[in-house]
Amino acid sequence: MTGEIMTSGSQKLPLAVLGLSVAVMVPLPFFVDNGTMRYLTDLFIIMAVAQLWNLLAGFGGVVSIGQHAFVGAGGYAFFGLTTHLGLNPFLSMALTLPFGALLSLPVFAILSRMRVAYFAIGSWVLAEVFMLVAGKLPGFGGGSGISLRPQIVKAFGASTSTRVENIYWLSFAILVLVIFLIILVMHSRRGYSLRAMRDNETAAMALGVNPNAVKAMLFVVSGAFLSLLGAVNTLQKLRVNPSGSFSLTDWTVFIIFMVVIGGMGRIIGPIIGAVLFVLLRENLSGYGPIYMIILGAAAIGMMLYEPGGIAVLVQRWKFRKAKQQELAG
Amino acid sequence: MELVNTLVQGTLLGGLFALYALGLSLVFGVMRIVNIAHGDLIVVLAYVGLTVTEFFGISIIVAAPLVLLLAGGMGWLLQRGLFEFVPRHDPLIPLLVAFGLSIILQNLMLLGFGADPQKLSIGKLEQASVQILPNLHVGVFSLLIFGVAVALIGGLQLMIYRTSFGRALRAVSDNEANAAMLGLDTRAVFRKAFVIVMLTVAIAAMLMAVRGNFDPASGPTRLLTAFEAIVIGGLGSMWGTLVGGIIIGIAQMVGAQIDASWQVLSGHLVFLILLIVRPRGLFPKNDG
Repeated sequence: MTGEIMTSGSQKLPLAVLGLSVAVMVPLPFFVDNGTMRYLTDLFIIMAVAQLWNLLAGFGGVVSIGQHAFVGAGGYAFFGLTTHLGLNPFLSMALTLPFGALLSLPVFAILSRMRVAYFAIGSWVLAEVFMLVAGKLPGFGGGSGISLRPQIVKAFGASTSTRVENIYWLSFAILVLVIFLIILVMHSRRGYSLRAMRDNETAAMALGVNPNAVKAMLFVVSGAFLSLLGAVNTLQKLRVNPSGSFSLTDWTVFIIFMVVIGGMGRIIGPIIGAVLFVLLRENLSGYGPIYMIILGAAAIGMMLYEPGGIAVLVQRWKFRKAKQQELAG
Repeated sequence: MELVNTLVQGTLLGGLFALYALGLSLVFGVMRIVNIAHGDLIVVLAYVGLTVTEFFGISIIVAAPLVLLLAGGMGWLLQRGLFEFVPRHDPLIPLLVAFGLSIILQNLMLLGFGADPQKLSIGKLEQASVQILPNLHVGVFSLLIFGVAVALIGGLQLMIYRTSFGRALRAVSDNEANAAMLGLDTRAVFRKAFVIVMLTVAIAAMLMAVRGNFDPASGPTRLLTAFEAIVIGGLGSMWGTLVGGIIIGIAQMVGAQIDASWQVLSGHLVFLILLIVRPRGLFPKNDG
């Protein structure tokens, strides 16, 4: 892809928007009901997963079809740390972050042996392996999975409504942190070398950028946060099980569609995609396969018409409107 | 004897895996597209076979030419109607387009045929077996699959290295711009290539559908085994792909001896180990 779809402009505007959304979202639990909060929590988690996929694909040029591996592994790690090792639930949740980072290192080492295009299927194979192994781990309920003990869940809030509030703030905090980190990374020296790499890998190498090191860094960041998000998701679902915790559809297929439709390579892209996805799901999920077909077709159409997604289409439309006004005035 | 039996069964299964892989390998070799939808195309053609046999009330053996014809038509249409419009300067775009196609195909099959597993039957030939060693019986149909795999690889090798179309394919694969400059109609080459790809897919699909059950969600498993066979063998080497398929087949059969749930997992694990030990595959080509 050309540099055209990369983020542009200074970091001040995105940071201001981020600050504004914090001011709106943080006090929200005092005004809305549990159902709305659950709905938003779901949106935050999806959005964060989409940001992380975009960090890899849109910014790093690394397409993974195996990101559900880390979400699932994080959930299983959270279950193991709390239930089998008896660690404090908050500590366990925090530990899923370094756990995910450590897990991504060998995964990246294996996958990076494959050429760019085959990385995608390779990551899928690894995710399958993770899921199959999770179903064989002793003490995790095998193929049908196992529920979290009530006292672990209650640590995050004794009553349902305080728990819903706490998980809401927790997932929002993670989302903000993820977006903040991505803004920071993109405006750091690493970020600029990343753009150079994304535009022309060979030229970037000639300028002293090591593409594999940069990609490894992105992979580790995304693996760590996906694992943490998997732990939060487990807290939402109250259980781990191989097909649910490692859901290809939820954590990879939908996520890819969201980012592709919203706009790859821009921070706003996954936000647009996730909001659209959640709104559409409300109205269309009853149609099952047809919904999936529409999403698939929309993603293909977007890739062919404008690989920068809705984000670029909107920008172009605004630009055209501004120009028309200029001409008229 | 148990071990020999496992090895023989695994080897024969590897022939089927190599058949899955040939089309995937060709699409990547010629068009540089990683066709994520490859497994789903195999399953689509299995359903085409099922529909044709049910509609005309004939055996798949009789219906095979018609299925091949339809497959070739589909290949031309896919290239002409979709992949021709996909810019390939960035591998991301074709990859994601194929990904979208995969999800569309899976859900179209789900709408059209439901989630129940299906199978094609060819009667007695399925159960027939021959004794090749004392205490060692081998299914005739498994032997047939393996034979088809060897014949198809041999045929494709001949086509690629001995015909003028093969020369065009290699030229386009090496450098598309140069091939076009020398007067090759690259668009026509791509279309023909996709027709050939879909013919191999149809052959794999019919054999798969007779050998066992399939359902709309069977595609990804086929894609992953095909991919593993290619990577183990070394990109671009078709005989290598057969060896890769055999290795996965044996790994799966050995795994299945432990426990049915180990079959798929042990195939994946052997693939990962080989990827670590031999990242460029067993028979790497210099140009990859």
